[in-house]
Amino acid sequence: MSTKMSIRQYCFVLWELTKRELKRKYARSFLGILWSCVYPLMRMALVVVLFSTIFNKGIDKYPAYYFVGFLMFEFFATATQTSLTTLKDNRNLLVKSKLPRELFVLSRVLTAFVNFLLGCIPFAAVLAWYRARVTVYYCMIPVVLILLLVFTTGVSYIVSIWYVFRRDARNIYTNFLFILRFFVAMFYAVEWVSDGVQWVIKHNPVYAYIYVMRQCVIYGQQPGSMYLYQIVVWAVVLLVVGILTFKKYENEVVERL
Amino acid sequence: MRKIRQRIENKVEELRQNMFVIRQLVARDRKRNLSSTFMGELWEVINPLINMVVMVLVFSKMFGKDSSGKFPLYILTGTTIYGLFSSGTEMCLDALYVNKNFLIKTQINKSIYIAEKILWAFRNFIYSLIIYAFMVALYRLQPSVSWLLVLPDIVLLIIMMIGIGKLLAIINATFADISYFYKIFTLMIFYSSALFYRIDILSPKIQTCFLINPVYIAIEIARRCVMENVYPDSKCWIILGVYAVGCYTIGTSFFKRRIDDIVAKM
Repeated sequence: MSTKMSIRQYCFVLWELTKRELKRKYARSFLGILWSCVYPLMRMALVVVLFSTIFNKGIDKYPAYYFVGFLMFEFFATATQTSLTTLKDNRNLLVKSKLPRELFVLSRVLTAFVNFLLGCIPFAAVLAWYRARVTVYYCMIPVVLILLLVFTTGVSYIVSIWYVFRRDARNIYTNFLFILRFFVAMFYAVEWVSDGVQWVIKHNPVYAYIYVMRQCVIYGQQPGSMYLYQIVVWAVVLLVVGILTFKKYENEVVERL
Repeated sequence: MRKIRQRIENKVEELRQNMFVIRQLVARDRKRNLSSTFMGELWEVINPLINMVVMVLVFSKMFGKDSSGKFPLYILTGTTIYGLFSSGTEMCLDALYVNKNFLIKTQINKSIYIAEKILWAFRNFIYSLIIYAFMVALYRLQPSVSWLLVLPDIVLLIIMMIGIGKLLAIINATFADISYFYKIFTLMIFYSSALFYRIDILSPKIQTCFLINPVYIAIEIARRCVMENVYPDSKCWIILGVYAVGCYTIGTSFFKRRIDDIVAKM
């Protein structure tokens, strides 16, 4: 990086970019950013009503169970999918300014994260309604969130570069996310599917984050150590690989855009 | 006599022009969607296959036991028709908004923008039928006359989609929040169209609730015709017909009434 920015400047630019994204996202609607709260709530209500009629076996505290899965998966999906095209979308700014290029990826991730946090407000209301006990495991929440953020950032770095080199990356990734959505046990319990599928779900990093979060927040239980181990390793590995890939190809990107 | 001939000629000329515009718009959409994709149209074919495989994997233990071994085909029938409905109507949401420049600068019939989106969805539907035909061949289903009934089934569904599409496009031009509501709505249709479960597992009371859902009816008709070689009962046809005619008239009249206003505001 030729231009040295202080951390304050860096954060300032990041936040400005994020604000721009948020504004753009809700530009034409009346409720605006409120949709980040309302939409997950509506969705949860619908799924809970439908599934209590379709599935006769129940899941303990199903609304909260679904809510965690939905919010966390949606964060991962939105962050990575919007990061995928971010370098191309911000092409003008990228070529003309000397801003560090990773800022464009980080701003998309941060936008999705802000959305996620807003979605957590109605989730907290659901928890309160269940009178979920506040346990020591609540201390785990920030840790899990940061690890998920790190993991998502790593993936975002990789896919943003991938799209520059292969334009059908978007199609492939959209399909991949569609498949992934069914393998994070969002609206069903893992035990309900066949053994092979169970194995896949249990080795899916996104599921690991969701599982740990559910155990800590909803059920107040110690999550299995295999998953704890998984979420740390996935986050570290993806971040390292992500940064290395990004640094390696960052300069080629400008020529290719 | 000459007057009538003149009028017919005018109509034909108009239709020819409209087809030209539709073709142009489709070509543009196609470029936007696929220009960067090296696999191009192949995606349209592979997509439904992937969807089917995933849903079979996830749901076969939960719901697949009592479906006489044709669970994949059962799912594929549902997802193919649901895909036509949801993609077609969802694309209509910003049919007017995206074509802003066209709308202001040209005088062609405004409902063309809706028709084009539906046509695009229909084209993808035709592609997905390749996989469907393959699955039908795999299960060695006996061809029968009842298969032909799928045709009016799809036609009715599309008429309904045009009505809904017009409604959505008009509303979305002034009230963008509709897209969120519609996302919730399609999710509701997704889960309540019995795509991956049989409604026999539900209580009779809830089973009758499914008859409100036109997409479920369209799917059910197709399943009976193709998979069971049975003629669907008239009740299903009547409900679907009422939906098609109802949505179409409401959508079209609403569209006609509001379109000039919306173009003026752009």
